[in-house]
Amino acid sequence: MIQLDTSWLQHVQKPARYTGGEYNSIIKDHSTVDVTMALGFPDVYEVAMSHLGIKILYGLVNRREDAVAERVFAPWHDMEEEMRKRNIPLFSLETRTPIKDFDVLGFTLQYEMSFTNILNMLDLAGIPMYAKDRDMDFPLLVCGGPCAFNVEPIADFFDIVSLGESEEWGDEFIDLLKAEKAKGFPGGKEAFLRKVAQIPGTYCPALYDVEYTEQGDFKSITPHFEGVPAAIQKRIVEDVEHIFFPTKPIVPFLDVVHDRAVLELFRGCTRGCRFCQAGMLYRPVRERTPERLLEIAKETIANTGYNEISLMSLSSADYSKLPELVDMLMEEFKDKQVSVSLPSLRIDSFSIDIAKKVQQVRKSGLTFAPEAGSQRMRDVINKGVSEEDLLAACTNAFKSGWNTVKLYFMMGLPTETDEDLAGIADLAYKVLDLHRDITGKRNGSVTVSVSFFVPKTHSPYQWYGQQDVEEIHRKQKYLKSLINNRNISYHYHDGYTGYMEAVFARGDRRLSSVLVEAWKLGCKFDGWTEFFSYETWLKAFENCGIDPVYYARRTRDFDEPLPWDHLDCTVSKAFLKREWEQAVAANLTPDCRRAPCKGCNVCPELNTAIVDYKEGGRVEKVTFGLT
Amino acid sequence: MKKLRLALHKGEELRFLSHLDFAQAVERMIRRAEIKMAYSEGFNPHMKISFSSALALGVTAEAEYIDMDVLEEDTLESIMERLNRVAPHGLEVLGGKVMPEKVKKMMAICNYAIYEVTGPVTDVDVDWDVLLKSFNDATEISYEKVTPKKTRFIDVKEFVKEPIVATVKDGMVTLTMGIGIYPQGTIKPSEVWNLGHQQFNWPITSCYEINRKAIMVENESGRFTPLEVN
Repeated sequence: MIQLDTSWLQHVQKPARYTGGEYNSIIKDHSTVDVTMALGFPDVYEVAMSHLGIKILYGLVNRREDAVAERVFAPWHDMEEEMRKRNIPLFSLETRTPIKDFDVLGFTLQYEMSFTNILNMLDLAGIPMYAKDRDMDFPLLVCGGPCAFNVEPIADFFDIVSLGESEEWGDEFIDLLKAEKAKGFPGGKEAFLRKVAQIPGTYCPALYDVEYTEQGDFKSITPHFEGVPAAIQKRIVEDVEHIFFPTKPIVPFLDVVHDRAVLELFRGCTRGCRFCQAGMLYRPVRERTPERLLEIAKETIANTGYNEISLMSLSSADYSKLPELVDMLMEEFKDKQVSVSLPSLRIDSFSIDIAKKVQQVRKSGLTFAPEAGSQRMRDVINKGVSEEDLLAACTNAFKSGWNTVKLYFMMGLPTETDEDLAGIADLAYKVLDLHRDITGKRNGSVTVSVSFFVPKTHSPYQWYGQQDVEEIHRKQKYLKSLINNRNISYHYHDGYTGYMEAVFARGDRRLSSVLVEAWKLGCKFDGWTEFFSYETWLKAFENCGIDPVYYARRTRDFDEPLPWDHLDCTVSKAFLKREWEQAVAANLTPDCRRAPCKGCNVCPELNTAIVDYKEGGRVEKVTFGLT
Repeated sequence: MKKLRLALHKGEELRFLSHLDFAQAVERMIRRAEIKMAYSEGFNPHMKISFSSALALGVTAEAEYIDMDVLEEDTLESIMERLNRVAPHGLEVLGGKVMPEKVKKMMAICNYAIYEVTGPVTDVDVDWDVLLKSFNDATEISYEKVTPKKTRFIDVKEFVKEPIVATVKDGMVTLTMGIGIYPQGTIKPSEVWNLGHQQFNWPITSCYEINRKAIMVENESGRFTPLEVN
């Protein structure tokens, strides 16, 4: 166990980030288990502890008697400095065991700008970054999460990639690892990886050969060995009703970003917003019943002492039994001072009615995401929301006592013109005017937040070349010139982070050298505005002789091989291509959840179906896939 | 409704909790124990619970005290037992008593604390009794107290009236100091430590850890723990 001395630890910021011991954290004697896993999140404690996936995996592994999972997060700058000065290697929070001593080190990949933190954590742990430099004496590096669907820029660092939902995969992997470890890993790492690759949903990058054309374009990724799958299909949990859900999550001592009980209503979202990668990756929609959710909620509240429960999903307002569920929760918790919160609202009056119910006293701000300012643009991205919807929602909200509305938009979307951007300012003014008309007061406030669109893999915009960052800066200024009202605040970030994100979001394996170089030059915590250094990143690209423009701005051909084609989220490329064409034509594609199949291919490919309780059970319908 | 006063141990595991973190850990423990509590009125109701002090991050305490308004008939012993069953490591309910309905805020009446500050010594042969004499015998020691808001001079002896006692063991010294907490202010044990190091040449470094041995109510009849007074 690594010793941390109070005399210096009390001088770093928030030492409790590093000392563990939280209620419901689990301590096991490593000598009594067969498999030890460190669950890593490449960001600081408060961010990491807000992530549902870690809670699920932590509970899932630790419910087994033969395995243990402990947590490890990125130490903040001041702590890193102390650790390096004192030769303290990266350690786990539970037993302060050096990370190097675990069988497995897992990382969840939530956003591209966390990649340098992974390298920094490996360095702090004394673990070689490149997978080829590690034998079985080092922990196996495993990753999952949304960025695993294009893991290529960091594929050289990882041994095993888990695609899709990992509740079932996790158990299969631990069983295999346990058995092979008992045999002493005959044949070494390569033999072991070839066995792991047999578990559906597993990608072992070292088992593949990557080829590029003479012009330097990506050509192919092919298995080096027989029996290794050419394409890896994601895993889903078909029965979310009965799958493990953590009702004894760790209760942090510190105020973390999302410090409340979490209730996951359903997985997947089929609204089909064309910019949205999550909407494609997590299909199909699978709901839990309100009865099961109530049970989870009761257990979690009793086990944690939380006074708030958050209804989480990609689009919680779409839950078929939302009013019933909210009533059940309010009834259950009415005398227990537990409030219910709804993090994401759909833009309609119905959502406001629900929000009214759950926020009876404190009317904090309401947040809506129209995503684009003009109707044409919203049709292009398939947002399926009209100005009337937004104004109706706001009317209801202002009549019910809300005075603050936050609106989220993107800029840099395909086919976007200045007129579409002017629509953002227009909407903000309309909402503000509406507030004055309804309340007769001038204390309304509208916050407009505009982010720079980053095209993502596995979405209809995966071929689209991101707009020039300087053009984005011009657009930001233009929009700023249209907003001159002290009750409207306009927020945006400089575009460089979005530009870099776009490079790695659709990068290939050659980018690993850039990441290592950037880390060497001092890049880390790149998702934190105050630590992101564009100049350093440019220098890293230059030193590696790699052009970031090639990755971010180049429009890909539809028939060009893509470095993530083998990482299959089961939405067909033909469907994505048709969606691109529909986008350009500003045509809508309705949600398939309660309407006919649109042919994305997920249900037939995975031989599964939507689970939605609107009509009282599983929707049985003919599904197909565009190929 | 009844008012309970409980003594809570803030142990090593909770050393790095700030006062607010500690208060939250206590509240969540109460909620897990499903003890029916009185809540304040208003838009943002909170548990009626008050602390004897704001224990700083980095400081453990043999006992910290809370007053809480409870809306149930369960006995004190049973409530304490229920709390201890769901307490995080490092937090323990040590004792308690049922209070009269009206009590003075503990923050207002707790005016004396005993701290133990421990750290490595740079000279193991030194005679601490001799060394501490000049500090202990002084009638006035001026100290420049720096806070984020202002800098001012205070007289340390106004707050540290009794002699500081040293115990040396395994190259570490523990200084036990009684510190007054008055309406006009107080001094932190870490400030006394650093002042001794800088102004009195105590053979110590800037490394230390602090444990609060006691917090008490001092009046004409003597010193009492919050459980000994109403």
